[in-house]
Amino acid sequence: MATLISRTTVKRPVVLSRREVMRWAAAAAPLIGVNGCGQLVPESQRQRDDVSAWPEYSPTRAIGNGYGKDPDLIDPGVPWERVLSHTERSTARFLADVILPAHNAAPAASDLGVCEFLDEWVSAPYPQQSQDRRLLISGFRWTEEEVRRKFGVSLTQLNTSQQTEFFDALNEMTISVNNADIDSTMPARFFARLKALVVGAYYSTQQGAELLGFLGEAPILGDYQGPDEAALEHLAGALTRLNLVLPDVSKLRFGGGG
Amino acid sequence: MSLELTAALQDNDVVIVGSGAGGAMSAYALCQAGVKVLMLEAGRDYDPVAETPMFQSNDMAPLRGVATPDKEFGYYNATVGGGWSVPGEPYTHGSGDAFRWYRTRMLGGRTNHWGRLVPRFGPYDFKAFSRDGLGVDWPIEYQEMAPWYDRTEALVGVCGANSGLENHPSSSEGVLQPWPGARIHELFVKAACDDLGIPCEPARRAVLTRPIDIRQACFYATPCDRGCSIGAAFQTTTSLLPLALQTGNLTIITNAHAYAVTTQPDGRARGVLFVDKTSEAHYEAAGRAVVLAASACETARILLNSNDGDGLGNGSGQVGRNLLDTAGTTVVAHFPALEGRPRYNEHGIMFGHMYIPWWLYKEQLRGELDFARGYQIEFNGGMRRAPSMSLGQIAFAGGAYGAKLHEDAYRAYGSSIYFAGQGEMISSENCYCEIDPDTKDQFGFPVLRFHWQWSDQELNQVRHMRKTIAEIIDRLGGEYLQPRNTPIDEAIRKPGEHIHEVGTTRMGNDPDASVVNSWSRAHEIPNLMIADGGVFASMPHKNPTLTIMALSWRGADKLQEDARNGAL
Repeated sequence: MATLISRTTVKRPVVLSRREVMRWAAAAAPLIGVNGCGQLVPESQRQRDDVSAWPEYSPTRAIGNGYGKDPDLIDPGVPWERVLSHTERSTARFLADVILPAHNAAPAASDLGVCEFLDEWVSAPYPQQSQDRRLLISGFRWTEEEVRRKFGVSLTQLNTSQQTEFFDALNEMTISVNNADIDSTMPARFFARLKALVVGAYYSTQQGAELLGFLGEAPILGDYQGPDEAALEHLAGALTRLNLVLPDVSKLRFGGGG
Repeated sequence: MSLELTAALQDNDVVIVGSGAGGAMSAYALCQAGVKVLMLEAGRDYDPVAETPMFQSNDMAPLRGVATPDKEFGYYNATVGGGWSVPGEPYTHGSGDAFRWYRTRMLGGRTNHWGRLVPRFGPYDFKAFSRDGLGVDWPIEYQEMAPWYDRTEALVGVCGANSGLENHPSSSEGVLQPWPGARIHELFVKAACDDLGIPCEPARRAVLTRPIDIRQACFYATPCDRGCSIGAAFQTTTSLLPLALQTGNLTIITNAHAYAVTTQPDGRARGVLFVDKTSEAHYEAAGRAVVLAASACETARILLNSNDGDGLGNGSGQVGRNLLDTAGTTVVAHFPALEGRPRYNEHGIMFGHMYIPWWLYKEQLRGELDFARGYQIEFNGGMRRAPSMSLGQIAFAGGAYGAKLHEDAYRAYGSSIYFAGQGEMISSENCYCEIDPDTKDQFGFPVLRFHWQWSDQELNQVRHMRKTIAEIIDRLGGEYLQPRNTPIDEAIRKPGEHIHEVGTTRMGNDPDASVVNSWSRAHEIPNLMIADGGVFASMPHKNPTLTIMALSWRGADKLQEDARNGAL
């Protein structure tokens, strides 16, 4: 069932456990609210009535063709033009780095090409990407407008505390996304989707995979060795905490199992 | 008429339609026996040695390689020219649930990307009607198939181990290659299964852990669904086809879209009509015998479209009927206990090294379950494959952004496992394909129209598999990454999605109730053999491809024996 792998990993919506949602919703309640238009209303603004409206982007830009059903797999290329404007790109760059900034050995998202990837993604002619194009371009505009309305500066001019205040509130809202019990706002949907795309794009680079410690593409000349002692020790501890017993590993190594 | 083609069409003993598991195995067996074979493949030529993106990384592919309507199993997946839709070759929806039909247009067909899980059918599987009164029995028994399974496993190259479980037959000594061993996420699930009294056993996979003939052993590093340029993950394009070509007895014509079988005045098959897709010219390939292995539904379509649409070999009216797939469901869960675990090379042979075979035979026989047939559960996950776009969805569930998100992503990576239950459905008059009277493909040939309706057997079975999966997830402290209580008619995967479609030209002893006999030969046409899953009398919960190949070899062996004895 190789078929399962790509399907389950690509298309499945993520829904938080109810327990998790309730915990987050409770935590978020004092901080944020939702106005009647489905807009994010941070605490400091709740008394005011002039929150930026969601600027629904109508897809007017020309979208190219897909890569077809028999593309070159050895030397892949992207056949479609990019649609983001210079301003949208710079917003995308800023937001990607808010989501995954440089941290210890990890470079910022923009240094791993995530901004260029977002442009490639929203420019693609496929249904999922077309949906994201609408959501993301609207979201970029909303973010710029809301920041300017609230702080009187552009996104890139936010100081650290303003940035924290703004994105903490926005991020708290993402907990509602994909949960049928809670009405999610467009800004929340936007930021949740952007986060998922940025994280996926970042760690699916070769450098991102290294940061996660991925070791699965090193060819082995000889028999597959399986888990090492450290991995087994960690598992034994985890199983003990679950009141379970580690299976007899000596019978479950290469060449065993019979 | 192209001279090259004209020459290829001369002096062939057997014409085979299709180069996938069934067609390639017949070609191999016949060519080894000195029979001249002409093979017609509807797709393009495909060379896995040159075309497999073994080490290409996700960030080299458009959209990081995610699935799109052009490449429905991902950019790098070894599917050429098709998927759930093939341009210019539609199929239509008749009644009930919409059937999904996965096709490729490439040499080697779907063997280039399949899951390579190859359990044997067992004694019960061939005689299920005798056990529970549902469906029909096969006209053959397990004991007749056992030597063909041994032979097929040895040729294909299967790694695994004998479990000794009820209705899960062992291979003979020395047939199986070494099993690659359990990985962390597999030991983790097995621990819960041991506690719950559920078996969790080594899976048999058509992946080499030892080199054979022209193929190398697995080096445990690249995704098998892209195909395998070193031949370790079985596909006909690196094994049966080159081995058959080496005999000098095989000629393959690609881009040859077969659409009808022609007959002699005495009713025997004369050859196959096809369109050369590059020139749009029509040809007939003649032979002393014809083997159809175009895949179950396409073979049924060829028979129904033969004789100018009056059909061929369909005295029973069963061609296209008894369409079966696997009934199944998938569940993905995240396991906090696996978070942040130590890294090691977890790739292995990529596919699951372990699985959960069906174990409640006695309970079923005593009538304690509300469904008659078994299921198996495949599971996989962990850190086998390079991180992909799906990691974004896992990390998002943690809720953070900024520096903490880096830490969450590290913790989350490798901590989710998916489970796929796969159960046996029972043939019914509500699941079938037929010729659509209105719609034609780009070549002007009528297309198939599908009808489908699950019965309570399958719905109850899927309910039970979801319960079993839930018990395992709960025992391991897992959290669902999808709604837990999905209504069952949504939780059951769509018909056709397992790509296990079989049964449309089923075998049997009664010519009024089946299309082929126990040697996979059409009841009405002694020199017409069917070598794909169409011949299955039932579709056990076990994956079909090993049995397709074993039956194909057995049938081809009998075909050349009959030819030698003048019986054709």
